[in-house]
Amino acid sequence: MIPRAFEYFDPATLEEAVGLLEQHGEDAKLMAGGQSLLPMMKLRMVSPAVVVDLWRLPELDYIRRDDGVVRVGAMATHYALHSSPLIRTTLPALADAARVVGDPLVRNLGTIGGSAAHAAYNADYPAVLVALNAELLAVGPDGKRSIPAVDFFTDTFTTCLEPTEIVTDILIPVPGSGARSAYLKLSRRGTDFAIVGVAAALTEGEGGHCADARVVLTGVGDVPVRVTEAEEILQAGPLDAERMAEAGEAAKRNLDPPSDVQADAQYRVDVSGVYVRRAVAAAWQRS
Amino acid sequence: MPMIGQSIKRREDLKYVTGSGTYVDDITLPGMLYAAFVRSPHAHARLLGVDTTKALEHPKGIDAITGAEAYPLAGPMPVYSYREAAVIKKPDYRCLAHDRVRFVGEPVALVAAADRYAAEDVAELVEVEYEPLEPLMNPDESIKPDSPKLHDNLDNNVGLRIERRGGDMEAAYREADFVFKRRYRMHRHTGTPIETRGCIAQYNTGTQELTLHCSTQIPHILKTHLSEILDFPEFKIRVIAPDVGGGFGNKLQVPPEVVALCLLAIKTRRPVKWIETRRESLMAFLHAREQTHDVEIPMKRDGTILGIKSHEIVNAGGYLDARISGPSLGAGMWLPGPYMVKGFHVDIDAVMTNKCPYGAYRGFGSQMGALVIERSLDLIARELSRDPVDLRKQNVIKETPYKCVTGHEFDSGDYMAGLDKALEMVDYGALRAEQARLREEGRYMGIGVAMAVEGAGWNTYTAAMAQHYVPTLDYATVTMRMDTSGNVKVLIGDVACGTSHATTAAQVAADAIGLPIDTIEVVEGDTAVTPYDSGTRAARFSAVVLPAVAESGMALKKKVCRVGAHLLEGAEEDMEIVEGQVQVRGVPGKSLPVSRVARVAYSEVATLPHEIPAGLEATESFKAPMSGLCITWPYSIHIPVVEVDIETGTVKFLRYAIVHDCGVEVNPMVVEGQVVGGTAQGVGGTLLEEMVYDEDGQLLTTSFMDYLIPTATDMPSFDVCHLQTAAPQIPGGYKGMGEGGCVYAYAAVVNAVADAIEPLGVEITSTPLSPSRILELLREARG
Ligand SMILES: Cc1cc2nc3c(=O)[nH]c(=O)nc-3n(C[C@H](O)[C@H](O)[C@H](O)COP(=O)(O)OP(=O)(O)OC[C@H]3O[C@@H](n4cnc5c(N)ncnc54)[C@H](O)[C@@H]3O)c2cc1C
Repeated sequence: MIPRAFEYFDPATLEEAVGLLEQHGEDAKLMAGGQSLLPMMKLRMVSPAVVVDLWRLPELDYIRRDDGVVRVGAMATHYALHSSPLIRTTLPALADAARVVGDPLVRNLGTIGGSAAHAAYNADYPAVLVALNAELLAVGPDGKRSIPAVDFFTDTFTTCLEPTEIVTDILIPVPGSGARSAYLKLSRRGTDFAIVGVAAALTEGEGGHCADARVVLTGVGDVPVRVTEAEEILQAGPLDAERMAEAGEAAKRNLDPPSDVQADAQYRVDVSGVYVRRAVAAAWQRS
Repeated sequence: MPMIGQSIKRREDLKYVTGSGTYVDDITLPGMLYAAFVRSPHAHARLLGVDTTKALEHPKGIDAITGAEAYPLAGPMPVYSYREAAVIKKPDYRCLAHDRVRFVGEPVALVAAADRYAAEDVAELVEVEYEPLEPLMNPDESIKPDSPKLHDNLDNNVGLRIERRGGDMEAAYREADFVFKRRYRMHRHTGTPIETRGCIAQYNTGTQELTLHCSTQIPHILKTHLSEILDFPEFKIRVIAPDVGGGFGNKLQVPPEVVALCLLAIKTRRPVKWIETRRESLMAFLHAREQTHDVEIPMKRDGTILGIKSHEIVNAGGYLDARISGPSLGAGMWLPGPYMVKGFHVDIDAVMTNKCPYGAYRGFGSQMGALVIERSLDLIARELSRDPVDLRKQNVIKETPYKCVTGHEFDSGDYMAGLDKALEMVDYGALRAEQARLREEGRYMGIGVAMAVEGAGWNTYTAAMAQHYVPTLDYATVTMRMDTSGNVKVLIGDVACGTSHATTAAQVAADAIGLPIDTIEVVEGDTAVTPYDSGTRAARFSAVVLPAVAESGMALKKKVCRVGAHLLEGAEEDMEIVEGQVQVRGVPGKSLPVSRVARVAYSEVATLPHEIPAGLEATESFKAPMSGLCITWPYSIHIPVVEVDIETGTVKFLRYAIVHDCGVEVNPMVVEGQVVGGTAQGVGGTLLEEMVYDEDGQLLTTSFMDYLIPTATDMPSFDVCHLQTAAPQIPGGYKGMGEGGCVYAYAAVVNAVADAIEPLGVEITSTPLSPSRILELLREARG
């Protein structure tokens, strides 16, 4: 509960921030909302010598739509996301996820960029970002680059970012007509991390069919787990309750989730099936 | 208008909601150092060496103390004995480990540094050499005769053995048509006060006084124990408990950490502050509840319960906490519940393992007794194809007072009426029909019924202090001091830890003296100004302390009236005090404000006759009636209604009805707060909270991310019905209360969940009921 000593910077520009990261290398850690970083520092699980706080960079804190893309600044808070009419109407799964992250205190300070960069295996956003085909923009000493969400998460608590890179924006294509999505999470208490979370992004086709399905799970692997077999089942015929249940069963196959004090692996497998079915149903019911 | 019985707002709340309370960590003393403990990372290891050299080379490292250094300076931690609770040999439990470490988190050394951050850095630099040993985590293993011993000075790993017999168990077996047998297992969890433990110890070289600001429920008892442990004159020790952010019985502990802190304060001659982190608290503050019961209940086919017998095994952890026999005995002695049984027999073994020591926690063991009998009744009802409520009605005690085979003398109340009321609140008949209808739809609703008698106020603490059994009874002493303006301070040796003493004691004092409540203030927690008291424990405040408040108030009133009688030229017997006026009964207009009387008693003493003493102060004691183990017997019936999602194992509350009788209620709102708060804690303990150790003895639940305490969003709304049967032996008719909710909720919620999924072939005999455990049970039932 008592961190080791560290030096604190709050740069006024992105360039300055990148410069600090370059200068201090592995010794430095970025801080966004501090909702993951500070608890780990207090438990002395990490002890960066230098903390670079991003709070003074307004260009990282925004939510807007540019043509066919919803753009979200890395410093947009969970609260800003779930209360944004734009996100609620165009990307309901993202609003669903933002609404169930932690508690109001966490949602007021924690950010989507911080959550993505932290890359906890049971965090809510990663599954949604993969399901919605998001891209993350990062800036570093060599300039900007764009990383598809599927490639961004490489292991639990690990991303493809270099220590000197900063996530600046998250870009999500505006879904076409007939698209609907939902994120559904099972946790012990209202405020806890997911035991399993399911993001379902569906597109309605002809005659009650689902023309496109992307179903991604959190909490059941080191990175977000896309259940393609289940997706295929969802697209193979009219999407009714039976098909959703079948997809749920299919999602359980090949999962290799972890066990922890909240739930053992077998439990995670069992409820993954149930939650895939329920998340698909929740998305499908949205119009 | 009398104050007793009114739901006035809590007088302490302004302070709390405006953030102007003072907790230990809000206090800074001049020259204060900050302490941090070095704690064992091993569940079991030989301690080969502790070297503080490097730590003290840190620029901010001031001083340190190790187990070897502390050993000759501080005696063993105390262990209480109750009657027949023979602590045969005590583990050598010291403030800092000296030969072996016996649980993860056990304090090994203590350092002091110039600030809190540095203290942590300095502690990290202490070098400790361990030789890891095989940990013993399972009491079923460590109780075996060939198990390695955790303490060299014990004959085996049984730290405490209690055998209790009552009634005629042989007759019960003789008359039985069958014997119901089960093994129950209750999981380890504990109270987690929002304010963790904390203390500032200060030694004054000039006065040779040791002063502690300490978050505790027992300032006076702590003082007595510290005097013994440190061989320090008791009158030179002062313990001040400032605002206490939750206690739950855990803070009845005499913390080894506080003993070590005193040694360091004496050594450094500077005040030293220790504020426990949450991680430390979860690892090394007391744990509770973990027990198994091998139960036999001789039964008649017609549903008559003849007796109850259990072998109770308590996982006592690495050392015996002072109060280990309390929750052990608490479970055993509550086995018969509020039912008529002929025979009773319990053998209790508190077994040493490599877990955190086991201590007191709200309910003091009685919830395990309640769980065993209430769960068994449901299972027996199923075997006999009877309705569980019906079986309870057949066996419940019909008339009070009732002498239970355990020796308990249940003082008053109508348990059957309470049960009927609770059934009416949920419309039991309709609920069963609804349950049947939902089952057709594949939905699993469960109705849990639990009823229990709670012992409030334990007559045992002085015996406990004596460390061998002597017959005793509880008592409280209260001083009332009126100032020169006619306001009164009520001095009580207790400590409020969410228990509303500043409100309820003022209500009782106001009525006893006849003063408006805003002229009365309650002062607690400082041993230098309050009378000796056994502390905030065992729901004794209303049963024992409030009667003392009333007696002391009446004594003060008498003194005021005596001065008033002189001033009004009336007879003392004719005086009364109404709304702050001393007046002659029946003579309107012949009156004086109490403030005037006070002024005379203090400042115009020369105008009073010589026989009337100066000043206005009274001290009175109330001694509890000698009625067995406990003093009063509140009771309660809980009926939670839940729905279990059989796909995820999650439990949702649909209703929660509570009937509660704690005698005369001084403040019904406060009572309701205690009932609801306790029930919430019981629900959390049943469904969410569990201290999980792995096979190597590492605690996995070391933060609130893993150890799940219930939050508002996890709670149902509770419907509470208050019955008030006056306690016959207590002036004022109060019974203790405050632990109950936590006691009954456990059995009731387990029964509700079990009732929901019983048609799927599941039998629940252990806790916790986490979703993953419920699915596991369902999986097993499906085969
Ligand atoms: C009580 C509690 C409950 C929680 N419950 C949940 C939950 O249910 N679901 C959930 O998903 N999360 C939960 N969280 C975590 C929360 O979502 C955090 O807000 C989030 O994980 C981190 O965001 P942050 O802005 O606070 O980042 P920080 O904690 O400041 O940083 C996290 C990590 O990301 C790095 N980082 C931050 N910003 C950037 C950036 N722009 N570019 C590159 N690296 C960056 C930091 O260096 C650090 O390593 C909970 C946290 C708490 C304290």
